[in-house]
Formats: sequence, C-alpha cells, structure tokens
Amino acid sequence: MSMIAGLPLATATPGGGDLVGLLPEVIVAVGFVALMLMDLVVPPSRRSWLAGATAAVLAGAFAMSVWGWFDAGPAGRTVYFGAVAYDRLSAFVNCVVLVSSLVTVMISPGYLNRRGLHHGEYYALLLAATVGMMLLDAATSLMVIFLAIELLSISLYILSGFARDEERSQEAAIKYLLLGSFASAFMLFGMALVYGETGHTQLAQIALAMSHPGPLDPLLVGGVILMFVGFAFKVSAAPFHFWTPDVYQGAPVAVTTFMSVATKVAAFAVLIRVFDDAFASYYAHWSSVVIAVAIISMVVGNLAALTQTSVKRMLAYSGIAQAGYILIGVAVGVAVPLGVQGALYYLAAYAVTNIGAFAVVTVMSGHGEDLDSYDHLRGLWFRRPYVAAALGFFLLSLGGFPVTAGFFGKFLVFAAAIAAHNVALAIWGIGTSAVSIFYYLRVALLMFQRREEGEEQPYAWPRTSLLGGGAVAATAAGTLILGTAVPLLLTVVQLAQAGTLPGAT
Amino acid sequence: MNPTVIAGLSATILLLPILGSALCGFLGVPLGRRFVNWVGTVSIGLAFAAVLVLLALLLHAPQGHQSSTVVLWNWLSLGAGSNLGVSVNVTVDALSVWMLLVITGVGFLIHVYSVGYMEHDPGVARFFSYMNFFIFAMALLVLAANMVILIIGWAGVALASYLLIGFWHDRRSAAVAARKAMITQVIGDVALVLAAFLIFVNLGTAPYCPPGAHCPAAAGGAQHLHTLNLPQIFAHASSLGPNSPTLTIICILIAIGAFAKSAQFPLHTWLPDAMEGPTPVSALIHAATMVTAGVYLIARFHPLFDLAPVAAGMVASVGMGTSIMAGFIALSQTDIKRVIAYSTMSQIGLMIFAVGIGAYAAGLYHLMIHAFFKALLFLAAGNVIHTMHDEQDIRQMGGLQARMRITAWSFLVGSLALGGFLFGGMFSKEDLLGFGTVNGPAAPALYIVGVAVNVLTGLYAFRLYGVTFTGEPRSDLARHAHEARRVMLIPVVILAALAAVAGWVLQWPVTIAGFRPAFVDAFLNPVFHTAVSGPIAHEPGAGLAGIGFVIGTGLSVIGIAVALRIWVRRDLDAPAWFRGPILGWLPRLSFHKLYIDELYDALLVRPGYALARVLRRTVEPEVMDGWVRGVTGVATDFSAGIRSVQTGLIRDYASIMVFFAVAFTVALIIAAGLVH
Repeated sequence: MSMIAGLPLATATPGGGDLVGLLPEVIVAVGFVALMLMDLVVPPSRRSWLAGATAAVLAGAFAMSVWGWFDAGPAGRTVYFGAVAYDRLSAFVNCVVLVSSLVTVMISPGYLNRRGLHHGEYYALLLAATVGMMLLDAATSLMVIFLAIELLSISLYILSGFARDEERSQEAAIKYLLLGSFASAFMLFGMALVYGETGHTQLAQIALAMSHPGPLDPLLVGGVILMFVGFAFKVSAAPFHFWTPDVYQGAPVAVTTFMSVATKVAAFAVLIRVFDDAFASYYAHWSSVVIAVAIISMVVGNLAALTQTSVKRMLAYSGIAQAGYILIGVAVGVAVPLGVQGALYYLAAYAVTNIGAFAVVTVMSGHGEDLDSYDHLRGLWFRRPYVAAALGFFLLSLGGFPVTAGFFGKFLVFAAAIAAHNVALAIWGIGTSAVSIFYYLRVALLMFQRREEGEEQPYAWPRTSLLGGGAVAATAAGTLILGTAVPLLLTVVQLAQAGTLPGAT
Repeated sequence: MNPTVIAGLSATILLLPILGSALCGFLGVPLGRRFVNWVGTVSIGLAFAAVLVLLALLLHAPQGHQSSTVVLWNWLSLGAGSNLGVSVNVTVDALSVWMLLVITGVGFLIHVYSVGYMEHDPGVARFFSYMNFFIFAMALLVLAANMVILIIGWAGVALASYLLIGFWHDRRSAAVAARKAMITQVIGDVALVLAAFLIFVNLGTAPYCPPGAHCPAAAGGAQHLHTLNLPQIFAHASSLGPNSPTLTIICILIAIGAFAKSAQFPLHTWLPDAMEGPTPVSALIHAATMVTAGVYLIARFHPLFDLAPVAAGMVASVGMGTSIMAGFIALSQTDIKRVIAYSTMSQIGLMIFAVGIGAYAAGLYHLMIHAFFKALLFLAAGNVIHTMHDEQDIRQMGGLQARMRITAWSFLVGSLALGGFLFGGMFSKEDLLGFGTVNGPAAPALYIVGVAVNVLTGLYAFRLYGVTFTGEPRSDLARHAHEARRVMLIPVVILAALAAVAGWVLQWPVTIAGFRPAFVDAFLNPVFHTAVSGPIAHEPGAGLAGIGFVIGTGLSVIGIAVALRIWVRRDLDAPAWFRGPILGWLPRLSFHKLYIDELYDALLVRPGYALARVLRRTVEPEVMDGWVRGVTGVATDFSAGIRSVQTGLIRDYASIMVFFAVAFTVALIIAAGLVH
C-alpha cells in the first residue's frame, strides 16, 4: 500500500534513475540493433563472430541484472512512472531468461551450420525476443505487458519459420502467428475490460481499485479471466496449448530450445506479478480457473506425451504438463508465499533441465534435418555415452527424481498446495507425475538399447562440438546443483517473492 | 577444535574418494590403466592423511571438546519456522575417527594391493571407480550426523557391495551372489528407514523453558522433535522413558539393519557368497568397510540401546549365536576364502555381542585389530589364489610355505592374531569377552559360549594354515606356485606388522591387574559416557578382566594346539573319531553350513517361486493384467483422443480455444454473480 501512495503523476520527464532500472533491457536492445548492422559487414564465413558478439551482449546484461538485484534492494521501486518494475523478481527472472538465451547461443552456430541456416538475423531476432521477455517480467503496466508480449512473439514467429525452405517450419510459423494473434486478442480484450472497470493501466492503481470494497463488477471478473487466457496461451497451458506440439516440432530445434524455456519463464513471471500480486484481492474469483487449467494441463500434457514418438513432441507435451505443475504454485500463491516461491524455483529448475534436454537434441541433430524420432536415439549410449548420460539425467529431473532440480521444483509446489489445504491439487500433481515417469524413462531406456545385430545405423550422430558439449555439461551441472544445494536458490526466490512489485498484498 | 578446519577436513575425506570414483569412472577408459591406478590409490591415500590430521587434532583437543558436529551444507531447508530440513552435517569424534582410520587406512592398503591383483583385468577403471565409491559411502556413513545422510551412506555401501560382488557380471554365480547380497541389504535398509520414521514421529522434547523466564507448567507437554539430526535424537532419547516399547522397537529395527550389514544370523547368508567378487573386494568388505558398519551403527546409536536393554540383550545373543555358528561352519569348509569369510562372520558376531552388552570400546578395539588381520588374511589368500590361477580349493594346495615364504609368514601372523595368541586378537578378543562376565543377566551364559568360540577360532585358523601351507603340494598348480609381486606383498607385510604390534601398542602400558587397553579406553570411552545413563554398565568388573584374559588365551592356545596336532603336515580329513557313525553328522552339519541355505531355499525361495508360478498362471493374466491393461487402455485411449483433437488445423485449435475461453469467463462471471 505504501508503494501505491507514493506513485508520482506522469508529468515529469524520466530521470537517470529510471534508466538504471532498465539497463539490462537497454543493453540487449542496443545489442539487437548493433547485430543487425554487424550482419551487413561481417562476411558470411565469419558468422560465428556474431554468436560471440551476442554472447557478450547477453553476458553484459546478465552482469547488470545481477548488479540490479543488489541495487534494487529488498523493496525495489518502479521506474518510468510506474510502468516498469525494478525489483528482485525481475532481476531474478532476467537472469534465468538471459542464461537460457546464452545457452541457446552456445549451441546455435554448430547447429545452424549443419542445417545450412546460418543467417545473421538469427542472433538479432534472438536478442529482440530476449528484450521482450525481459520487459515482460518487469512490466507493471498493462501497456508494457502487451508491448513486451508482442515484441517477443513477433521475433519468435519469425524464428519458428527460420528454416525457410522447410514446409514444417513454415507451417509452425504460420500456426504460431495466427493462434498467437488470437490469444493476444483475448488478452487485449481482457485488458480493455480491466481498464474500463478500474480506469487504470498501471498494476498498482488497478490493485488499489480492486481492493476497494463495493459491489462486485462481473465485467472485471471477465477481464481478469480473459487476461489469464492470454497468459495461459503463452505458457502453453491446456486447453490453450494446441499450438505447442506443432510449433515445437516444426521450428528448428535451437529455436524450440529457446522458446520452450525462455518464453515460459517470462510469461510465468508476469502471470505471478499480475495475478498473485496485483489481482490478489480477486483471488477468490480467479483461483478456480487457474486450478482447473493446472489440472487439465497436467492430465492432458502427461497423457498425450505417453504415445508420442518424437522427442520434440514429447518434450512439448511434457512442457504443457510442467506448466500445469507451475500453475499449482501460482494458484495457491496468494494464500501461501511458498506457492510463488515454489513456482519460481520450478521455473529455474525447468529452465536448466529442459534447455539441457533440448540442447542434447540440438547437438545430436543431423545435416539438413532434426533427428528427433525415438528411433534416432536408440543406442545413443554406446556411441555418445556422455551425451546420453546427460539426457538421461535431464529426463530424470523432468520426471522429478531426487538429487535433481526437478524433484525440488515439484516438492515445493506440492508442499505449497498442501500448506494451502488443497491436498487434492497436490494429489493430482503426484498422480500425474507418476504417469510421466513412464514416457521419460522410456526415452532414457531407448538410449541404452543396442541395435540388432546387422541392423545398420541409419545415420551418424555428429561429433559434439566443444561449445555444444559445454552447454550440455553446464546445464547438467545446474540441474545437479539445484537438486543438491537447495537453499542456495530457495533463498533467492524467497527474496524475489518478498520484493515483488507492485506489492499489493 | 576449530569448526572450519573440521568441516574442511571432513569434506576432504568425503570428496577425495568420490572424486577419484568419478575420475576413474568417466575418464578411466580413455586415459588408461596407469591413470586409474594412480588416481584410485592416491585419492584414498590422501583421504587417510586427512584422517590422520583429524586424529592429531582430536588427541590435542582439550577435555570435553573432543566431539564436534559441523554442518557442511544445507541440502534442504524450508525456511525458518518450518521444521523440515536436511543438512549434510558430520560428527567428528573418537568413534568416527576410529572408524575412518580403519576405512581409509586399511582401505588404502587394499587399493594398493588391487593395483597388482587387477593388473590383467580389462575392467580396472570400473573396478577402482566402484572401490573408491565404496570408501566414500562408508566415510559418509560414519561421518553422518543426520539420519538421512547416514541412510544415504548406508544404501551407498549396499550399492557398492552389489556392484563389486557382481564385478565379473558375466559369471552367473557372481551375478546371483550380488543379487543375494542386495536383497539382504534391502531388508536391512527397510528396517533402518522404518527406524528413522519411528524416531521422527515419536521422539519428543520437553518444552524448552529458557532460564529465568516464566513458563506455565501446562504448556502442552512434550513437543515432537521432528528432526533426524543425531545429536538432537540422542539428547532427547530419554523422552520416551526407559524400557519404552517404542524405543525397543526402534532399537530392534536398527539392529536388524546392523545384522544385514554385518552378516549376522538370520541375515548372514550373503557374506560367504560375497567372495564371488575379486579378492581385494572381499578384503574390503570383510575387513575395512561393510561388515563393520553394523557394529558402528549400534555403537553410534548407543544412547538408544542403553535405554532399551531388551533390544541390547537381543543384539548380544544374536551376535554370540552367530559367532559360534560361523566358527563351527568354518571348521570344514574347503574354499580358502570361504573359511576366512566364516571367520569374519564369527569375529563380527563377537563385536556385535560386545556392543550388545555395552562394551562399546572393547567391540571397536576388536574391530580395528580384526580389520588388520582379516585384511591380511584375505590379501595373503589373494596371493595364493593369484599364483594358483584362481584355484580356491585348499585340497589342491599344500606345501606353499616353501614356495611363497613372505606370504606364508604373513599368513601365519594373521592366523595367530585370529586365533588369539601372541598377536592382535589375544588382546582385543579377550578384552571383549572379559565384559561378558559382568554385563547383563544373560551375559555369563554368553561368556561361556564365547570361550567355546575361542577354541573353535584356534581350530579353524590353524586348520586353514596347516592344510594350505604345510605338508606336500597336492596339485601341479601348487607345485609351481611362486611368490607374488612386490606391489601385492608390501600391503600384506604392512598389515602383518600392524596385526603383530597393534595389540601390544594399543594395550600399552600393560597393567597386570586390569589387562585393560589403556589407550583405547582413554580414547574411545568419552564418546560412550553420555549424559544419558542407562541400566547397562560400561566398565568390566575390576579384577575379572585379568582372570578372563588368562582363561580366554588359554583356551585359544588349546584350540591352536589341537589344530596343529591334527592338520599340520597331515591329511585333510576330519580326525578319525569324527568319521564314525556316532559323531559323523557333526562334520557334515558343519560342511553344509547347518543347512541354513537349504532351509531358506525350502522355506522362502522355493515357496516364493511356487507362489510366483501360481500367481503368474492365475492372478496375473486375469486380475493384474486386467486392470493394468484397463488403466493403460484408458490412458492410451485418452492419449489417442487428445491426439485426434490435435488435428493440425488452425480452425480446430482456434475454436477449442474460443470455447474454453468463453466457457471459463461465463462460468466465472455467473459464479461471481451468485456469490454476491
């Protein structure tokens, strides 16, 4: 409440302090423009330089975000007249998004070269999408939220269709574009209703308006739900998930890697900020929808994944299911702070694990196409033992086995559900994750299966490059660390949760 | 003791072996045998050095500060106010250091020996990776100050033993033996986990009232402790009250865990089969690590056992029973490693007996001495087997004394230490038995059994020595036997020296009246003198120890003398009067290991298989498969249903989205309207 009272009116010009709050975003945005220009002067044979430059930009922004974590302090503040939050939630999510981008950049050059897709605008688009995500996790105004979502979406539409001469990639792009616009329309409609009913676009003011006692406005409830639909589409929660398998499978796998992790992380950050914080006083009205979507996601995602035969599609459905688990945390997050903390922990755990799993598919992909059917992985252990071991480890983490990051993600959100006296929700989660073990371990088992005597290898797995191997090793290490040194990240997410702006609760 | 230093040293002791294991496992194959040999041994050697530093710190620590529990890191904590948390914390005290000395010290010698023993084996990288992991798991187990961490180490030991017993996994017998060991271990694991649950749920603490504060008397009674940190568990052990049934059940469960690890009746059958692994593995399992874990466990949980005399009495009886049973079986076995295996079981039984009657220091004293001479016997036996081209039957041996002098002399030292004359066992075993006369109601009876074990020990120890090393060679292999390589001899000689002098040194200064091991008592006993005082005495009665020593040693000497008379330079059969109709069943009973394997086979394995067959024919296809098929069918149908919705057509996707978006919105608006 104290935050809201101190809000300045939008009459002054933004000062230097406002710029500091946006510094990481500015760095990446400048990098985006610079890379577009560099692409014109760097000879095609030297495109890997662009990757280096991109990595430098991302690393710089990461360093600034870490600094921002300390500079913003426990309470944080809003900048640009309450439009953007400079708080620990945004700093934390920025870091996760930037690390995901960085790992994607590490595995990209080798992959793009093999696929013959190495074009300069790839890196620029990656940075543009990253800026969108960073803005999204910091946005505290409906306008900024919408702009950020469009910025990241448009970049991703293009990246999905990056394999220009491949029909599937084209199809993925057009599907994503059409359905994404559709979802944006829902969200915009919801925002319009919220604005119409409260008269504000800033989350802090909206929260203030919502907490006023008075007759309940059904249209406001409708606006809140429609906004949730828009976010649910972005985090690919069922039943708004239909684009996910098609797009994940069609897009070049390096793009899928990025998209499946970073988009989800950023979208969940804004979902937490808007629903668990700003809309907290309407908790009673939206919680049942979030719980329903969580359960539908867990059921649909896990059951549909059972019968897949492509790793990319399986991971797409698994991503839908994981969104369901994270939604558990969001659904109980208003009543129990552990819910939001668990969701944030889960996000980081999901990021390292899933990006690792996709990175393995990326570094093992062949010339001209992604080799992602189950049959392609058969016997991987005997040719590429380290890569296979890493993928097995990621799959265990996705399944939620102890000593991996995934276990504690699940543990924390389930614990939060139980603490919120919603035991049924936790049981749904536990039951469906038992189902998920089947399809995760099925893939893990395939890698240890020898090919029949005399059966020839349909193709040769490429040699793992130093960067690709490094990416896989780093994500595996991250998965292990988040599963063993839990208080490390738990403390961080507790601080991030406590300092979330606009701080309506 | 400086906590930072303690934490650093303990972390070193834990990390070096696991690092060595990882290096050997991941890089061993590409980097080759030399790399593996160096990494595998040096990591344990350095860990041993760290243990020595800990020992020095401990010996110089002021009185009352000889125990230190430090937190290495928090594995999991759910913040302040929540009592659920697991931290990796370690206790460094005389008990854990004593165990670590054995684990890393004897373990290091065995590792060095393995370099020679495994020189022709292609799987050497895997071997050292497992061996180092074994050491790590044991170190974790004895250092752990939290029951969760302790159980992780406990299960790690079981895993390592499974991997190593089945190291030659293409041999059917090895695979079966490994499985047997694992199944037995799991029984123990389950018992220990159940004990942890019971402790977590039942152990309470009196409400804490800070001095000077005003506390209402009826503040809700005892609160649950809800932690698995050992120091807290021990501090509040008495909250259940003396002779409480819960505590007795907890202690019995812990004891079952210990029995599985230490191969005590009725969970002992895996140990003799465990020699299917390479001989250094047997040495490691029997001497330095695994079987001692049970003794350690009971010693570590002594504050609980002190309060549960019924459980402690059961432990003592089982230990002594196993001891005499194994000693009897060892008399007639013909496999060199099998004899030593049963002798291990017998000696461990004595240690379990000791910790059961509260003679913790005496039990641990024998544990260390036993580690020396048992590792020595196994490694010397390994030399014999190596030169005999994997022949293990002592009936094929004989006369090896002339052909492998150093091994034979070392083996003789080991046999004397085992038999309890002049060396090692003479001190520790008699010290241990000396307690038997005073502690507990059943103890005098058990003491009589114990002295009978003494006779048996002398008998089988020197039967083995006589048949293997004296007389004439009974096969071509034995005739062409030769001394082992130096890398395999040096550890044997070092162990022989330790077995020979350790008893004398640790006993020093010898007091004629007491014959008590002054150093051991001074070092170890502070651990066992806790604030909790139970009904079990920790000290033997004055004056009895000296007499007990004389009686015990005398009987050992009788056993040895009889064995020398019967088996040295003679044939290998049982003496004539045991071949007749009256006593002829005795050797048979011994040879067939009291038919316990057959009994288990008839009582458990066969009915189990029979039941399984019946179930497979009747229940499985109808009932189990029925509902499994039903469930998977539903899941697959559902999955197919979802896939059929996933048409790939944008118009379908969009319509479904619209449907749900509208449905949710309308439903919620209506619900909101109804509420108001």
